[in-house]
Amino acid sequence: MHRFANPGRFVRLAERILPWTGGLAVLALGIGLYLSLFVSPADYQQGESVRIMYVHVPAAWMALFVYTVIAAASASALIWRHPLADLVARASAPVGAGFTFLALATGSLWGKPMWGTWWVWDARLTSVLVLFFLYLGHMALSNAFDDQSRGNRAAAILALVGFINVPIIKFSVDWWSTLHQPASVVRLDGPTIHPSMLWPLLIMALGFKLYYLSLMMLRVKGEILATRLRARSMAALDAT
Amino acid sequence: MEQVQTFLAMGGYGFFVWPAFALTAVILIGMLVTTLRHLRAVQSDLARLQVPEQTQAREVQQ
Repeated sequence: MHRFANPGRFVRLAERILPWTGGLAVLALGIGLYLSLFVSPADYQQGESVRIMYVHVPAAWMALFVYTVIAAASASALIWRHPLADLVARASAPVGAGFTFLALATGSLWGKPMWGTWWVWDARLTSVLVLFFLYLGHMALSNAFDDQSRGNRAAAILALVGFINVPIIKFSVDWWSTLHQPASVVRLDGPTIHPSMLWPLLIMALGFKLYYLSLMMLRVKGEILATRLRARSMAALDAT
Repeated sequence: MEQVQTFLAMGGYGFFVWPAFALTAVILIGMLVTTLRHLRAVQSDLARLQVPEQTQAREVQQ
C-alpha cells in the first residue's frame, strides 16, 4: 500500500484509471436504469413500487460500504500514519452522507405506499439515521481544528468507535422485529430474490460502486492539491 | 401516447417511484458537480500562486 503513499504518484495513477472507472460507471448506471425501469417485472405483491428498490438498495449498500472504507482508512491512518489514508476518509465522508441520505429518502418514498408511513422508529431505520449523523459528525470534526491533522485524528477515532453501528445495521432486521424486510440478496443460503430482479439490482449496485470509486479519486486529488496549495501559500507568506 | 401515460403512472405508484429516481439523479450529479468545481478552484489557485513564485525566484537569482 505504501507504494501509493506518494501523493504525486497517486494523482498520476488516478488520472490514468479515472477515464475507465468513470466510463464504466456511466455504462453500468445506464444499463441498470434501463433494466430497472423497462425490463424488470412488477412485483406480485408490491406492484410497480418495487422499482424503488433499484436505487434504494444500492444507496443503502454504499452507505455501509463507504463507512467501512472510512473506518479502514482511519485505522491505517492512526496505526501506520499512511499519508493518504486521512485524505481518503476526508474525501469519502460527504459522499457516504449523500448515499445515506438517499437510502433514507428513497426508503421513505417506498415505505409510504407499502407500509402506510413515511417513517417508523424501528431498529433498521433508526440505526441508519445514526449512521447519517456519524457521517455528519465526521465531516464536522475533521474541519473543527485550525490544524487539519488534529481534526483528521479526532474524526478517525470517531469513525472507528462508530463502526460498531455497521454490523448493528446489517443484522438489525434479524435481531429486532421491524417493518423492514430481511436481507434477500446478501444471505448465507444465497439470494431469495428472482434473477429478473437480481440482475438489474446488481448492475445498478456495480454502477454505484464505480461512481463512488471515480468520485473518491477526484476528491482525493482535490485534497492533495488543497494541501499543496496551503503549503505553497504559507511558503509565499514566509517569503514576503 | 397511452403507453407513455401507463409507463409514467407506474401502476399508481408514480408519485413515489419518480421522485425516488429523480432524487438519486440529483444527488449523484450534484456530488460530482461540487467535486469538480472544488477541484477546478484549487487548480486555478495553485496556478495563480505558481506564476509569481517563479518570477520571485528569478528576481532572487538576478
